Amino acid sequence: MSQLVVNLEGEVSSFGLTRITREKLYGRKKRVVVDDDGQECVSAMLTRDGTALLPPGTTGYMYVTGNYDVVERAQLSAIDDAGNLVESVGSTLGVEQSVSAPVDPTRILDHIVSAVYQLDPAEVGERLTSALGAGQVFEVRFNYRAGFDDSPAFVVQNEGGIFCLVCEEAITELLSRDVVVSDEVAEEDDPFADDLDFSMF
Amino acid sequence: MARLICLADDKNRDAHVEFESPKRKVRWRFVGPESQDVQYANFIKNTERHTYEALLANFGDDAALSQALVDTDPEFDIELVGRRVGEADRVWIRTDGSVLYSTRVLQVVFDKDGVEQGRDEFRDVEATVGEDARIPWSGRLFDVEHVVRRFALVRKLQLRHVNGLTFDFLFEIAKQLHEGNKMLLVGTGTRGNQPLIFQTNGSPYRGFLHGKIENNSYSLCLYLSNLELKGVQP
Repeated sequence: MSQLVVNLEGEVSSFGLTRITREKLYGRKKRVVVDDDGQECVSAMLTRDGTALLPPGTTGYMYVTGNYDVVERAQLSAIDDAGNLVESVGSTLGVEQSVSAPVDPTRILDHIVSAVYQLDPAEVGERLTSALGAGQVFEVRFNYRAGFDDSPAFVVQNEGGIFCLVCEEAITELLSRDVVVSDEVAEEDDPFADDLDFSMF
Repeated sequence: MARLICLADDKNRDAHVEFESPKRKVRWRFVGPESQDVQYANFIKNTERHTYEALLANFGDDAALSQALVDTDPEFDIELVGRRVGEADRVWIRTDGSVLYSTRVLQVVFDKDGVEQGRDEFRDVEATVGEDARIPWSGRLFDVEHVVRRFALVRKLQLRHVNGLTFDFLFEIAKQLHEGNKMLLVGTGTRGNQPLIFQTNGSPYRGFLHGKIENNSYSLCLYLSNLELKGVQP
């Protein structure tokens, strides 16, 4: 079982992880397209030249170079903006994450939450239990599977349980009167351009 | 065009201000074995005429299909396989692969155990946020600690002034929230208790406004949540 392991100044606690989704909490609403007989249909792609009708499962993604040479995943490496190789980061699951002190809860506001896990206590130390119960928030690093970066995550507790909020950094600037405001926001910058969602409250 | 919203303060004054998402940092990208740039591209593996079902219908039974596979290569189209998909339109097809020329769209509701609860005609849900939809001051203030431990804040929008008057307007709201260490519950409708929907059929959210000031600068951010921090059965 996947586990988050926290080391609070020598006191080790471990938790099982259960992903929390809207579907699990509220159920879901799904949009279904049917034909005249009420039979469910599936979406497919029709190429613009009309030569291929592509039902689900008939296309596949690959990495290719500019010359269309296929690059296998194992041949890929990652570089940063400066062109330096980025080392891979292992999964943090089952690996002790050291924390020394709680963080200010407002630190969460410098981030947006990308995933929520319910933490099911397997073995929890007294100090961590007491700190979480008092509303304190702890920050750890989180990486579900090995990749090229990990994420900040915050451990919080409320009356519904203990949760791990996996986050992405989202820092905003302070605005002063003389800051030039944008005359126009490009359409591709519209934060809700791809926000179609048919599962309503 | 800039996206504007119409926001009201606690004195029931309103103003049009801009909003935008913080830019996301791209920390790395993939390169090939000789450090050359790579693209993640979509290619054709097969078409609707070469699926198992289509081939079975063509050859009649599995034995005939097996023999055809041995004798020739009926399972792929040499002209299409490996071609980049490129621009394509979405169409709807029946289970037999035929294309629909008119569709009927239903909304199916499932409970949290995945059991269907009912289905009905799908109706568009209009946006509730925009230049013409005034967002009232709900007056419902929560401690920051309460909000971050109760809701997953999944999106963040920074509100920006568009002129000197709206600078003062947003600065005052930010100052009020900063000094009280509070977040304001933000919703639509006359009482501010309806969800925020930013485009037709978009996701509905609850909003929480947070303000910060430093000298003569401010940051006023609207955090959006569509998920409460509640336990489920593991």
